[in-house]
Amino acid sequence: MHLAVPAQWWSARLGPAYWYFEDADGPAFEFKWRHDAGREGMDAAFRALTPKGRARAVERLPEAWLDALADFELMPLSWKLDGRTGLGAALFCPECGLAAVFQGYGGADGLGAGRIATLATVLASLRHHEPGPPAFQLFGLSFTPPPGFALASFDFVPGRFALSFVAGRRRLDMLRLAPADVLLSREPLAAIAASSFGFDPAAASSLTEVAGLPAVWLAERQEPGGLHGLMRILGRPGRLAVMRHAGPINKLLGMAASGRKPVDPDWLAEVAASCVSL
Amino acid sequence: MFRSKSPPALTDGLTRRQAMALAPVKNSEVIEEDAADEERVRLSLPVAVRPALAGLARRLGLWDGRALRKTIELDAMGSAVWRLIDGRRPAGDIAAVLAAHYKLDPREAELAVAEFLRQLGRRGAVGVRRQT
Repeated sequence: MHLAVPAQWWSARLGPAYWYFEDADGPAFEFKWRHDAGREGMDAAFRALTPKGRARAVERLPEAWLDALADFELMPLSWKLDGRTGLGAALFCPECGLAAVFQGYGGADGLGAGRIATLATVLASLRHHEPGPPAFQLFGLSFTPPPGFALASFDFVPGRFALSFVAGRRRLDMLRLAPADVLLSREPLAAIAASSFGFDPAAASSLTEVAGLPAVWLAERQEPGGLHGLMRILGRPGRLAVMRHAGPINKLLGMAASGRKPVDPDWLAEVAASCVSL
Repeated sequence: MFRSKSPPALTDGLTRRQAMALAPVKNSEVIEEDAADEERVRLSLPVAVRPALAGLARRLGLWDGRALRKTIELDAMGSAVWRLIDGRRPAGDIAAVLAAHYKLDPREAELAVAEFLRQLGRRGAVGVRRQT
């Protein structure tokens, strides 16, 4: 799924098949989807938003929205609750079977003309047939996960931003901590990496350079056989993490991978290096 | 299949834009001093005692009625925010200074400042002044 949103919006929530954006005035736009869910998926989405009269069906959406959503079948809906209003629709693409639901948020008086125009532009940018490889540009970073890895979770609190991806039993965690100078004044990079990725504080670490930045590596159950191999077979995955100190942007950039086989350090270094500042 | 998710509630009924327009004001009863490293700030805050507990403590001879105080030490970022509070500067301006100094995303700095001021507000160390 590809969607272009205004720079003033920011992703307050992000999940598998789920986007939620806010601007300075609060909630702005929400979009969730399911591939191959069919027309009944659109009905289910509509019902999920209309329990006990919270949302109701409306006759029409703004004309500019309808132009942008010409490829979809629509079930428009609106609601008003606690001084906020929402206007959107459950969607179904007859060509690919995708079902989705979107809502634009407004204040007590409804969505203003500006918000409606902005949403028309956003909806017009929607691409779902050939959206391209998953790529994330968030919080000043750009990251494209390796092929096969899908977003599993998103976490953001001031100073800490994390994305987690899974591919079968393999897991990849991307972490960005800030400001680096304040964090490093409290404890060394290895200790920060260990606590951030849940490694034993006494875990052995090694310092190198990754993509021109000083980096610390931490490993757990990485030996190819022996006790480590046995532990991996018994369900304790091998883990490898690298955390880089990006001094020019005052951030700490971490990447950790785990799986039933030892994680290839060269592969992880390459993945870590693909996480760059915008 | 499509579980209903509620958007996060607005904090205290204010939007981020409105919250950033408020100017934090220090409680005049807070005593501040520099910590040993002079980078961080140490605050001594008056502690409110519940009347029922105060009466009981007096009767048991555990408290002489003098104001109780609690000391907290702010970290480097918290100290920087505290030093920027002058009663006139809006929270948004404080966040902008912080974002520039620590190279933070502006929205991230706003959230950090808002959360920090909320915590100080709960402890009675700051209030807010609405800009006209």
